[in-house]
Amino acid sequence: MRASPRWIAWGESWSRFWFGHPSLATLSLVRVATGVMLFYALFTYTFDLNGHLGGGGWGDAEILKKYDTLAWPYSIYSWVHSVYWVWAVHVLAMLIAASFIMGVKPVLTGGLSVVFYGSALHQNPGVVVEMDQVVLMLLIYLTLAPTGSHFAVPSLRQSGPGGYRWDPPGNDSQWGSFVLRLMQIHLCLFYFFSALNRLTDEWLLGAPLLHPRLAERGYPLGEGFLQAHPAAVVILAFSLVVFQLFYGVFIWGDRVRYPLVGLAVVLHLVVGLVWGDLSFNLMMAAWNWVFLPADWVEDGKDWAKSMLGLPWFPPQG
Amino acid sequence: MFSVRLPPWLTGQPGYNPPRLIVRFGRMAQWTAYRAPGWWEKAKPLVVMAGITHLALVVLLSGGRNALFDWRAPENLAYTTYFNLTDGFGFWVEPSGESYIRYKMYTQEGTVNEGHFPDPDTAPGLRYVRWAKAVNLVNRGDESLRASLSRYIADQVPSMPFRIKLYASQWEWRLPHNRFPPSFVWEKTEVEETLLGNHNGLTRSWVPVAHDTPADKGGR
Repeated sequence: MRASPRWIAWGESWSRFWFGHPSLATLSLVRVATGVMLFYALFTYTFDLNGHLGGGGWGDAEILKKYDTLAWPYSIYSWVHSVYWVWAVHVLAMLIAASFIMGVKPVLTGGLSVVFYGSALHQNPGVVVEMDQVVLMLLIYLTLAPTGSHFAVPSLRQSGPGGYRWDPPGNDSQWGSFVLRLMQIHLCLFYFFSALNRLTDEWLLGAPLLHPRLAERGYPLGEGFLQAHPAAVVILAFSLVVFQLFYGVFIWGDRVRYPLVGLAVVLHLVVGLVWGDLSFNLMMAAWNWVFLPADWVEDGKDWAKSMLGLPWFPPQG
Repeated sequence: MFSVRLPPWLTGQPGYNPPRLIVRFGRMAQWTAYRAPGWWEKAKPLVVMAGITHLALVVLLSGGRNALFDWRAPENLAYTTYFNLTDGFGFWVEPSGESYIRYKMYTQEGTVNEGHFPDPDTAPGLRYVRWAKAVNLVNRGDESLRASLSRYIADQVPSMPFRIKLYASQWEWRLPHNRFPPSFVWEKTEVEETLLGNHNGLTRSWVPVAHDTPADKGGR
């Protein structure tokens, strides 16, 4: 029995969607961004390591376990009982995160980062914030793909005095394209459900935009303007909800994709700066990069390479 | 090969007598421009990138207190605890549950130390957000968590305090959102403090307050 040409064409386009993109440059860029945020999250744990993760912390580990949503929470920190070993595990986790940023065996270091970072989160679920969940989620995706093909320090070679080059990437895995698509679809769903949560009277009336903290510091548009044109705030609130609601639809259109990605990045930066939750919003902006075309990222890589090839010091003699 | 001719007041030509330090830097710039032509064009992206990185680090590591913003002022303290309740854009989603904990510590030296969690001086910002999340969890009502928190506070000082009193503080505000369009007038926020219990420094035990009588509530 012969399949109809239309069925074959549909199957081909389906395969092309999931396994079509040949370059892993975009995923590698997101690997660097996620790695940096992971390192930052671990770095902030350093100040309160004993308070949050150690034995003499503010919350008893056995009591905190009942706040964990995982049925069998795992944690390396529950194996160690002295402050010395808590620090040792933490330093090891930070070294592995640094290796992940640099692209040293990212499948291995990414997987280990999932274990170590997850250990910190499950050891004290009382201090898990939204950014942790996003970072861990992206880490799990990135571990599935060989993201060490681009922006990796091991493939950086010195070619002559003061000049560097990156080894040409090998055959990029089609599995990487599949992972990229998963991350894109997940972002669309994330925005969609975030918008659904926001379809409340309070939100749509613009209450979050008139947060008391903003009132204390002065509204961005001026209090007089807002009182004279209250509908402006309502329109703004509706616009944000509409943006999130339809992001997952319009992002697949070729003409609006990149303006939409740019808009999302700018919005996250503005919200992060005005509201103060900058780390979470930076992570969300980096998550939006999964829609960047690999050609652009390759161009950025060339630029980074030319930066590395600069004469860093005046010539001697 | 081109060279940049810097003004004489920078490099110290005859007839000009600028300060020695300026002359030194001017001559370094002159030398660099001569030996490495086009160095600025090459270094410019590096300098710009370093500047952006520096600004980003200043904003991130200052924990909300920098030259432009101050999100850690006491009156802003409660609002920032909303960060753990944000949605996909970092806006708050729940109007309740914003709280912090104030403690009074009676030391062996006879002094009374006061402080609160999260400490507004906590930086970087992510660290502060974690403490705010912890405080919201403690205020949810688990007595054993309050006990362990009071033990943690007692462990932070070198000499054992006799007594630690913990208060839960809830910030409240009202938005007249029963009208459309909203009137955009926030009433002044209010602080309501409730005594949670006492940590006995001698026995290292936690004694919760029953809240049966009005006298048990509040009071500082």
